Amino acid sequence: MSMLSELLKQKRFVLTAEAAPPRGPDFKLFKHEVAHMPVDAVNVVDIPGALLLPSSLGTSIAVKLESKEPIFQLTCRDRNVLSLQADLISAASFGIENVLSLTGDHPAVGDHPFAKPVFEVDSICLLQIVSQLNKGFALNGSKLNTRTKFFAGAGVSPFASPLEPEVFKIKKKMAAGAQFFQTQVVFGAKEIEQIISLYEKKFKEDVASKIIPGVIMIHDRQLLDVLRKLPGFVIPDKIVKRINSTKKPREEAVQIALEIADELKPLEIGGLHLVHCGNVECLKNAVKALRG
Amino acid sequence: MIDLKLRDKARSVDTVVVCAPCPQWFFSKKELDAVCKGKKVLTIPYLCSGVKPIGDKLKGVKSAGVLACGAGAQVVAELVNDVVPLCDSRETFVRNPDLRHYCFGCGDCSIEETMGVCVFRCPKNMRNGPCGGVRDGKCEVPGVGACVWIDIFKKMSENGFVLNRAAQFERKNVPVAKR
Ligand code: SF4
Ligand code: SF4
Repeated sequence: MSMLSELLKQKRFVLTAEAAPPRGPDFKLFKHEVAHMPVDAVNVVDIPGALLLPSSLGTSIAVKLESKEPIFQLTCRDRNVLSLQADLISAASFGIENVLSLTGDHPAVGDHPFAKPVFEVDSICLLQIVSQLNKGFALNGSKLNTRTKFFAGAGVSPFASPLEPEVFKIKKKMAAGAQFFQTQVVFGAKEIEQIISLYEKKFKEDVASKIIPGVIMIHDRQLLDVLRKLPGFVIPDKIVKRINSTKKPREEAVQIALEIADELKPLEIGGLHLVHCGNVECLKNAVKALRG
Repeated sequence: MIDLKLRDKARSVDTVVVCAPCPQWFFSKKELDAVCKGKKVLTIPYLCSGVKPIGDKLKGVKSAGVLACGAGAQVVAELVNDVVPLCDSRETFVRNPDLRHYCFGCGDCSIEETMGVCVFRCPKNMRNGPCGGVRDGKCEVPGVGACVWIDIFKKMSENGFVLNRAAQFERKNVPVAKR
């Protein structure tokens, strides 16, 4: 049983963090960092933004070997249904249980714009595939030698506009087997609150306890400039100002994240996903403060 | 190549729109007559030229079965709310260059599930609703313009589908590319 699923079930406030695979085959530093991440589970991204990095399967295995619990992010951008299932079964053989099903960004926005987009299925079909494997069968109905034990999650985009379809998609994702939801980073509670209230009004059931919103720690100015250039990534002026004017950017980054966390907590969410942008010290300090 | 597919749903339509003389048909006059039996039949040449040449020929039609390629059926759907494709296209041969992306001939036309708009017009082939990247109804992929799924969702809302028949929107996995 995945620890993440246990903690969510017991309504313990879970903390996850993001581990970007290193930019090349040298995993020494990466492994060292992962080993020191004081969180319940570590998300391993799958070629995020269609910018080339080592595979999420390989990196998830590396995380697992460091005795940390990975959340294996799997996108539909680069794999057909054979490859998706093959990667999932391989992950299961290494004891990887948490899977985050995503459709993925289009290669057109990445660093290999000439790459062939696959998108044979989307994230919801992928959740169905995971559910099928959990029953012990492949997509074509053939029997596996044992069933997988995946704890499946999906993404929620708080900035999709219009937002209403996103709310329906949460419902569809749940029907397809999603048991937890992680979001992109937010800078306040407004968007998450809106999604939760739209969903709960429409479907009259709890969703808040399954949602793990993302919170970012922008720990230096250079990073801020890079992030501000990303398409669709809007950082509120107030926060830009705070990062630009502070003398202690690391402390400030943690402080900002904690303030956002305080806003989010009253929504009775399942936990927080901390995006520490490679600075493990920030992550440690934030976790220490959050755990009290 | 266009194959005839007889859907149960075709029974409910009041009109059959026939795109003739499309040379791509792969079914006989006999089969054609069987589909059209008891329905009002409208023959409109080259639906894949776009809505303009159709003019007001489809005025007053409430539900239409379309004997044409996927693109032709989508053109009809721009004028009629309830459209059922009666064919499967396995290739594309669309006349109007602006409509080339309407159909890639997947061989499992299911546009009646999505308000007459093909989900493969989405660059990410989303089958279950818009992706999280949509902003103000625009596609996240540069150069695409409007998000097709927002179009579908709007049409669904206007027709009470989203509000009253959420199940319609919750349907999964349409269509399956057989090509
Ligand atoms: S569903 Fe298939 S046949 Fe129908 S319009 Fe789309 S690509 Fe063409
Ligand atoms: S924004 Fe809409 S059209 Fe663009 S990739 Fe996402 S779902 Fe498809």
